[in-house]
Amino acid sequence: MPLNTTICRKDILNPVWCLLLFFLLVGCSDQQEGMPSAQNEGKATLRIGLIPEIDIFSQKKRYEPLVKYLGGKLGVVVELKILSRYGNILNNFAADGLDGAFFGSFTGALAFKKLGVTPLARPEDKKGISTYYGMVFVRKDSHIKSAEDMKGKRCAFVDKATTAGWLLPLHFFLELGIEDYQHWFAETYFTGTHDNAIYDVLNSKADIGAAKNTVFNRLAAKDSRLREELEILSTSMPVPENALLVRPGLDESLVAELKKILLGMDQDPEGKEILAQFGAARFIETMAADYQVVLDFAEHIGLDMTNYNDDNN
Amino acid sequence: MKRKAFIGLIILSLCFVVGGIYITAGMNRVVSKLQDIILLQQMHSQRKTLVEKIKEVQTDLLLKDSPHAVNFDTFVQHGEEMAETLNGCFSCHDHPVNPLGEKIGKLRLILEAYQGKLSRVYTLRANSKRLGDAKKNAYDAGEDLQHAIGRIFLKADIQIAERTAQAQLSIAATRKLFIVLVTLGPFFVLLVSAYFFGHFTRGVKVLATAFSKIQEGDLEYRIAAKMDDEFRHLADAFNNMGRSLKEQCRRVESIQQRYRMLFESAADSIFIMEAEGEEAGRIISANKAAADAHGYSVEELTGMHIRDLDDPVVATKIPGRIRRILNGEWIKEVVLHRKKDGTFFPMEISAGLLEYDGNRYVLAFDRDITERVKADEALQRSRQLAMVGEMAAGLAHEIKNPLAGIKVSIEILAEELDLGQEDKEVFLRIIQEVNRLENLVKNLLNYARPPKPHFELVDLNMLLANSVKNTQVVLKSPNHFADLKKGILFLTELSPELPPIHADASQLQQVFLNLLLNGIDAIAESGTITVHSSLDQAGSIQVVIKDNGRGFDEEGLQKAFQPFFTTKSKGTGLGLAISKRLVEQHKGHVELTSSKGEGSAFTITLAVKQDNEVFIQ
Repeated sequence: MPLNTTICRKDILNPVWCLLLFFLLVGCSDQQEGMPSAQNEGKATLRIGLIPEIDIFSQKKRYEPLVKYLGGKLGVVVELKILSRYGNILNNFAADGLDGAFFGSFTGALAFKKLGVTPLARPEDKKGISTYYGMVFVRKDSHIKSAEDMKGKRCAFVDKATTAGWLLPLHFFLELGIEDYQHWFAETYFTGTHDNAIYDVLNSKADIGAAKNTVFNRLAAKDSRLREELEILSTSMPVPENALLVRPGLDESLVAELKKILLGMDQDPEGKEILAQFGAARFIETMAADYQVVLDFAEHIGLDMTNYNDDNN
Repeated sequence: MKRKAFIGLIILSLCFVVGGIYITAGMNRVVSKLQDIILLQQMHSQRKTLVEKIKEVQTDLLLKDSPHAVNFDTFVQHGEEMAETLNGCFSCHDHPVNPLGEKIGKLRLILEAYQGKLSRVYTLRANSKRLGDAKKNAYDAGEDLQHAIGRIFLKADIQIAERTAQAQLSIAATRKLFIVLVTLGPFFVLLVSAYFFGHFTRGVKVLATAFSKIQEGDLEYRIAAKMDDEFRHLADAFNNMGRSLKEQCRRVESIQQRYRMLFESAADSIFIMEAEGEEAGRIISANKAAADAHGYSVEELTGMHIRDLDDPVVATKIPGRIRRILNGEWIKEVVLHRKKDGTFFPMEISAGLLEYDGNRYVLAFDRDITERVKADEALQRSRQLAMVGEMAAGLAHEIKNPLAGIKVSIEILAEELDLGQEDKEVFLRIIQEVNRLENLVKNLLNYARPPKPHFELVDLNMLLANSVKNTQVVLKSPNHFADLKKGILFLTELSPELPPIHADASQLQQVFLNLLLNGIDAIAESGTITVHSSLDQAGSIQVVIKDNGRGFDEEGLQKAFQPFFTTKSKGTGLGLAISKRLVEQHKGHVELTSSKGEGSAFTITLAVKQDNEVFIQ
């Protein structure tokens, strides 16, 4: 029964109804007045880019409390801009007017090289680990162990601009003797996010997958199938966790304040709570040198970082 | 009443409190129901919005890679708005009105899966088949989400409609209840108030009526109406007050009556006069004795001035007397008052200050002392006579012996001397005069020192009869030769019922003889002397000796019993005085009634018995 037909006109005009509707409208009006847009009017805006480490909606949701906290502490409006691809962040950094971004280790290294961004800080977990590593995995029931086993199979990478989702499996395949992976595998593709790579293998949409361990661990904590049904064939050396890097030319005092806030979050109860939601214990300082391992690794596998094309096609 | 009023107050308070609570609860219930309906409406609206958002995202998905595709940011925005809309539904998850909270919770998982698939469409770089599959999967997920929402909210719509109907019924019932409460509540309050007000006013009215009756002087009025509570106590108190008032009034009236009677029946004159101001001395109240004493009526006296009753000389002293009274002095004086007929009479006045009701008056008690003055004068005269009598008796005693010597000497000389007839007659007249002097002296002694009576039982009738006979014998003596010629008839009317009495027979015979001779003297030529005896009802014996002689004039009547008063040329004036004294020695009295020219009557009253003391004497 449609609701609007059950409430007759007489009832709608009833004074009690009118009074309540009035209060409701007043309440709605008050709520609108309290909207962030009004509160943030006149404030400076800091645009932060975000790579699709996991699905774009979850990724944005994960970082929203953090940037809101930073905006509150800095007294600026912090806007999050999620990107559909890892590599886009490099291409669109200037075009999208980004002031900074949470780069992955590889994109961070590329950005450092190409854009001259300044690394500020990266998260560290409760165990004091601020790095991740890449994993190559298959379904246990696929019995894939060797290069021969992999031949003619489907391989799911994350993105050419990822360390764990591209550089590390590429290195792993090279070590296995697979030099031309495109012909070795029946199909290779890029899921764009680590979670999709993991679940594609789990759901047999791909036979071999690569992703970063931090995403794997977070998903495995919620979904036991990951550890039960997947087998990790290889892991890489650790590389710096996704870090915040800011564009050159950004107000130094703002940069300094931003860095200070990030590094002091674990001392602030509110910051501590945000860190817990984020899945980290604190932020630690990140230096340009921290990305050297990535650059060395890329060089080791023969990638020209200066002219690196991250087009996944 | 206090208890009932308290209970009534509690009832009214409870009515207000319960009514207030009920109305508040009703209002809250209505508001709650309305909020529920509004929330359900919001849910309905949100569902529509959610479906629209999903369709929008689905459209974005379908248009992807087409010329009309939205950019990535817009897609993300649409996806987030879709999620926020569904989160709006999730916010109602804990609300009791949400009938599908659990199922809506499952939508979150479907949405997240949908978002994941949407994300995959935009992040995936693969062959067209995979891209197509991803797109199709995402689209199918979107459709599934819509279907899920449709399924959930179809059921929700039914439940919402049911709840809305229930809410409307509840609102209608509450509205009816409000109307009933608002309509009947005041009537109930008025009813309770009217009951208590009526109860209260009826009691007050009964009491007011009762007090009015008392005020009008109806002290017999009692509250007979049956009253309750404090009014019953008040009514009892009123009735007791009425009885007490009546008793007090009766006492006051009794006292007033007593004093009125005392005032009215007092033998003495009582005046109440103004004591101050220009009207000082004006009589404002006088009793009957005062009116009678002055020959006025009470009404005539009231309003007169006291000076109108005083003799002119005394009247000049009235202001001074009033001043003395105002100074607190209680004055006692003897003054002359004037009667209405102008005659004056002596009054002994006793006057003082009377303060009453804040005013000051003169209260005067006046006593007519005319009789007392007369008695005093008589006593004084009697004393004077007694003194004269004593002197006369002493003188007589001194004269008696020389007279006897003179008489004997004259008799001897008259016998021994050879005297001529003329000389003998001289001697004889001397002897007669001496005899008369002796008789006079004897009578004088009898009056001044009457012999003491010797009481014995005497037959009074016999004594009277003997006295009449002796009188008749006396009449034949030479001394009464002239009387013998008179034609006097003696009549005796003696009562045979007379008892013997205690008396001195010789003294009473002397009295009767004196009175009979006095009657003979009073008759000029002929007449009747009547002797009458009787026993009166009081047991006394009355003897009346009456003649029809010349009688006494007024002055003679007044002085008849005074010594030395006589109407005869040769009388000593002691006969009636001696008789009176002898009768009085028998504790009797003698009265004289007489009219000039018609005769006189002496009435002697004697007791049958003398008292012991007298009798012993």
